[in-house]
Amino acid sequence: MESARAQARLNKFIMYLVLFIMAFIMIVPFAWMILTALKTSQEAISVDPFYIFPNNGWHWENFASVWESYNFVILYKNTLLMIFLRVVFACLTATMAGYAFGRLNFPGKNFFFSLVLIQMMIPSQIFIIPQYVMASKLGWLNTVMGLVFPGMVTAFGTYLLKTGYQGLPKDLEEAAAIDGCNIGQRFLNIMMPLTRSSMVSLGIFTALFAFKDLMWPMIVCPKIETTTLSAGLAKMQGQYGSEYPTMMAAAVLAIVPMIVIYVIFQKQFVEGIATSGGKL
Amino acid sequence: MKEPSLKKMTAAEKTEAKWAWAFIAPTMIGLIVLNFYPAVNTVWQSFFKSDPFGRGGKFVWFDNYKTVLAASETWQSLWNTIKYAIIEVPFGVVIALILAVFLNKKLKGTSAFRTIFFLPMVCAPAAVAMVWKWLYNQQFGLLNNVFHTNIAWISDPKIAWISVGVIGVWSVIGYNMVLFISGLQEIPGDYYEAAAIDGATGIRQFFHITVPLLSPTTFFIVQTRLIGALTIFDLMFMVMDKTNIALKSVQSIVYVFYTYAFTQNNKGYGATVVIVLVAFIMIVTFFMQKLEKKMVFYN
Amino acid sequence: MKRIALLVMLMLALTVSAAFAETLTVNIWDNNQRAGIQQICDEWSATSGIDVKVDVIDWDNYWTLLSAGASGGTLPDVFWMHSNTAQMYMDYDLLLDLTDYVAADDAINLDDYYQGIVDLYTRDSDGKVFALPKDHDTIALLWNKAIFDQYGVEYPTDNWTWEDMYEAAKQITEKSEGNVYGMAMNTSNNQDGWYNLIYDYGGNVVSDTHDSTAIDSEGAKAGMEMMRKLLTVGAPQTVVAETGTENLFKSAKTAMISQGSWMINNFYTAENHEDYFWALLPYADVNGNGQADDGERWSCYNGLGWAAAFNTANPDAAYSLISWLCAKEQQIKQAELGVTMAGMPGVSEAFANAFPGMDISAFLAAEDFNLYMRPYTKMTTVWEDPIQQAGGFLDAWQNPEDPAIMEKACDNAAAIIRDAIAQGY
Repeated sequence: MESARAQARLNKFIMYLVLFIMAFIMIVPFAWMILTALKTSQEAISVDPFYIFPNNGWHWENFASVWESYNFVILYKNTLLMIFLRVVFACLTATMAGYAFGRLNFPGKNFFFSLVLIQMMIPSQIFIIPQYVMASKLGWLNTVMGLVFPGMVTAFGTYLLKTGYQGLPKDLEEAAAIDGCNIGQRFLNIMMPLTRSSMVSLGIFTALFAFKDLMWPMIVCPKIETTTLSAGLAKMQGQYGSEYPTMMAAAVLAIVPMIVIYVIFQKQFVEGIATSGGKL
Repeated sequence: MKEPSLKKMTAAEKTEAKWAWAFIAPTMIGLIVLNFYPAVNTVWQSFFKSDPFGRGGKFVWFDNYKTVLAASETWQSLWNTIKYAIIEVPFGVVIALILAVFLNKKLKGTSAFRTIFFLPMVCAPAAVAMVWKWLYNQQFGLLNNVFHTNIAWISDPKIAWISVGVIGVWSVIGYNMVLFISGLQEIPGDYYEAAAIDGATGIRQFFHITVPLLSPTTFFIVQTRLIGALTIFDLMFMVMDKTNIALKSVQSIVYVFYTYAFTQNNKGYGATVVIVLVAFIMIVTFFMQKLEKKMVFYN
Repeated sequence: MKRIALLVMLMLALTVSAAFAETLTVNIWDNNQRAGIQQICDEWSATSGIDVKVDVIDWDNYWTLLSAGASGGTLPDVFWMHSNTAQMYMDYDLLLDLTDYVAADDAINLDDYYQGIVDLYTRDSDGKVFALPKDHDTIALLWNKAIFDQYGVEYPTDNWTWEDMYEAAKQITEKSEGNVYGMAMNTSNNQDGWYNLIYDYGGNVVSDTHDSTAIDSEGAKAGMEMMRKLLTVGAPQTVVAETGTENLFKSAKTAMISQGSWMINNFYTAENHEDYFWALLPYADVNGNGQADDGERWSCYNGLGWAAAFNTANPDAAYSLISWLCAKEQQIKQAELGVTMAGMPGVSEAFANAFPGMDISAFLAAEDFNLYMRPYTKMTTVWEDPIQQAGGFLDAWQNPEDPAIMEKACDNAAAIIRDAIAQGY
């Protein structure tokens, strides 16, 4: 008995040790990002002595100067607008299609749904060149429309919502049908509100995907005033990659909003990822 | 449910079908215009030699394919991509599984740990790659200065691919872990209780209960991460400079695609590279499906 | 649905065309020049009543965006051309033909400008002019006085040979026990670096007629052998590639780098700029008489051109703006503002005065020796990128101890360039 308890204590110790070491490894890059952002550029590239912490004051003003010189307001605005529009479009189209596939019966259902499944299997890189040509022909380069349009519909979301609708009990809808509600009313008033959690999952997934995407904003919005935070960072690195405190301050500014949102809505994020489990 | 046939539909079935078509119309039109047409168009373009301004150009049959398949760059980058996947997927999965099992025990502070591990998932990869590039910097980087080494982490072709792989693992652990935790919570507790009565230790329980019962989750993670790893781009693009000698032994196939299609404006060649990539991923998916039938234990 | 879509498209088209009627869009790639260029453009707006919007797009995307415009999208009205691809744009008629405008314009006389830049923007086949020279640049050696003082090494002079530079770099690297590198040069420092050695020793990268190369000639190989020696006492390529030469210099990790005049402002505004000095690029004393004779000291020069889109909605206004930007008065203004040196000889004094406290006369002095136009072909990038990467000179940069690798790299580079030229690039 005594040895079992000792064993349990040892197990616990080992588990905490592993968790703390891993947590440390996860934190270090973030810490280094912030610490570098607070140094002068001379300090950041001084090797002998090597400073872990800023040694002549913490230069918070680095953030302000990056904020202004790279016009972060515009980058934030573009990113938010893109995320907002993509989420709205994706949720709207996916919930409609998901409902039809999940609850309704109609000719061509299997064929159309197989198209959805096929799209999910094709790597998205194959779409990019023609999508770019489309954007260029329609004059959508360097516009929010260009950022948004490839994500307006989502096969993955349709699949996710279809599963959501299928999981709902049958009798709810039947009762409404007897009351004389048509399909549109049943969808809008009864069924759609019940798939809220799937919608939230899809919304979070879409937002994260849009926020993290690098290649598309880079090619469709090459002007720094029209692009997103991700692509903006890539551009800054290309132009001013050697100004380390500036770069790190920019990186911090680019990731902070999403981290704040994540910490607040942690439960939804984690559940959203766990249920959608998409190919992020 | 069997689909109704167009001819013999009742009035009610017709109304239902009309609603359904209206509901799927935006998605289907979108998929056709934004995905299926582009996919076909990419195949079409791969038969053309673009002029220097990326315009359609000349129909050249399989010339692009001949060049792409003969180029050592294609195979090297495909191999680089596989090497990246070999690091990211197994390490990302195993570490995440261990963490998930620990966090699934009733320990204090699990939610704080979970928050921390998941953080990289909500960060833009561009930012992540930038800070790692800075950590790895041979001259001024944290790693070399703290450990008093002088390693060219990202410029030595022998180790640069590992360094980039480590960033991938670091980024993906939290995501895998969250999926594992939700998989673990679905395993009924009485399995463990029964095992404990039989005197099975924690490690035995892990291998005899957790691993087999978790295999659907594991398989799902491995599959999605594998596809993700095979289409990696951001890390290589952000970390490797063009005059970095290790670039050729690290750049992924999507990076090569990007370079040809959007930097050199050789759309026909870029389209061909992407077709090669898609073919490769299809083969991998096919084998994964075969593997699923053999390896995965469904309850 | 279709009608709504049509309506939306129509409105979009209307707003776009409305926007174009009253403003000209100008695209450039150098953020450092934006303010100055905008100022000069605003002065044009004041006389013409047409607004000018100057957009900066980073180098890589600049060209992607331009070629997207060429293949069906919208091109900016007025933009920079560069020797990399100018000839290709001209061959494909993507630039507005300026020949008649120039002939009718009293403010512009092509003889006033650097001949090499005018030639660059003139089509060989029919002598038509597609862009006017915006500026020119030269190369000089940048050195850190504090490092030379610390290790007691004699300062660079304007009479240095590459051997002298090697000796100094060697002393610094050895005396500092590797803490400081005597010099640093990346494979991408071509125009502002190793190209100049090739010319000093009698080789060339691309011939004056742009249809052959002598990069594997004996002279070029001698130049690159000298380069190799320099690299043995310089910063290792892994360090240079990750950190960049200018950053190594600013962090006092390297004593000397070569730089183009477009970078002056970058160092002028650096923290330790009072330690920074410019000298003439060293020369190659090929005949061994101890002085720089004709043909022994070369500086690369390059010049951007102001061009307009072939399909600009307002060609007259576009040319009027180009003419304004390239006329003598604005060229001087551009130099005074410290934007760049002018596209015409004789007005560079104004540029020298734009950096009080820093002597940049080396860039002007370089013009008293041999200047060569930056090597270009119809599409320079096709060979220029590969020769500085693995399979080209990067191999030699990576292993500077082995002369055979450098010689092989010269042969490889020659093959790459010849192949590109043969393919019509």
